[in-house]
Amino acid sequence: MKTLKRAGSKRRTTLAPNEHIASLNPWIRTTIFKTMSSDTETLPEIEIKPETGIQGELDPGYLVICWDDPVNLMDYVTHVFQVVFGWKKERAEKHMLQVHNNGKSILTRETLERAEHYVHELQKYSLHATMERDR
Amino acid sequence: MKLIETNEHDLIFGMSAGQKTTLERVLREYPVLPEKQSAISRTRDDAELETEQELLEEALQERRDENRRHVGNFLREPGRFEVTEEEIRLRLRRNRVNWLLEVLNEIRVGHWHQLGSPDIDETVLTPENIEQYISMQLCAEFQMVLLDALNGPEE
Repeated sequence: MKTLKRAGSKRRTTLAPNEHIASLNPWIRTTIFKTMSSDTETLPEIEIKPETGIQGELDPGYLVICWDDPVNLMDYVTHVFQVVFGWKKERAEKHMLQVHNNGKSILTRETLERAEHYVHELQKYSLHATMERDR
Repeated sequence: MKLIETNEHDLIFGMSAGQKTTLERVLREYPVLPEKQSAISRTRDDAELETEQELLEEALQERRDENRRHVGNFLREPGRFEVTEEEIRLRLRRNRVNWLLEVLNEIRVGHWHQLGSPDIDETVLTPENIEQYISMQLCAEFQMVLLDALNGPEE
């Protein structure tokens, strides 16, 4: 598979230390802080940012959509879904029928990188697939 | 062309001399390039996906170059088609069947784009488009044989 290079990309791939803690779920955060507090008797100076903000920045969410066209054979579309996503035939057929009957099917919701990977794969098989931001 | 034998690794197809010639003829058409680039998004309204669009075009071009080489090798390889008394046999690894499907489909879709992306059943045949239309239908015929072979018998 092609390695994707992104010159000039401003997307972050790592978290600052405080953000690591802030990105944990509330129960774990509480446990960590209690433990730290009892060990050191000093509360760490951490500003906890809302989870949604950090999650949103890391994972904006892209929908991988396959659109209907009058040229790709239905069995071929099913076959490609099986190959690309590793789905069983029943699931692949379900999505193929959605494409056929509704004009499109949302195949998966992914990070930008994963969505891009799937769109590349589907388009290599000549399917009409795109990625759309999940707003 | 029909599936005559299958095992864990290979699928063996039998075909007439005419079918072999037809298969080779459509494969030699590769690549049939679409007139417009494939878009990575339908709702792209900012420059954010500009890099992604470039990467997609690059990836598709890379794949096309690779497939062009493979098609050349496929057609030139000695012993690719085995001639027996009854028929001509084509032995393919399962992953090669998948590849052949992809190539045939790209030829089919490429012709369809060049014909102006029509509704296939309503295409008005003319002396100018009939060759492309026939190629599309031939690709579909071969694709169906390959897909049936991969899927195995209906339960």
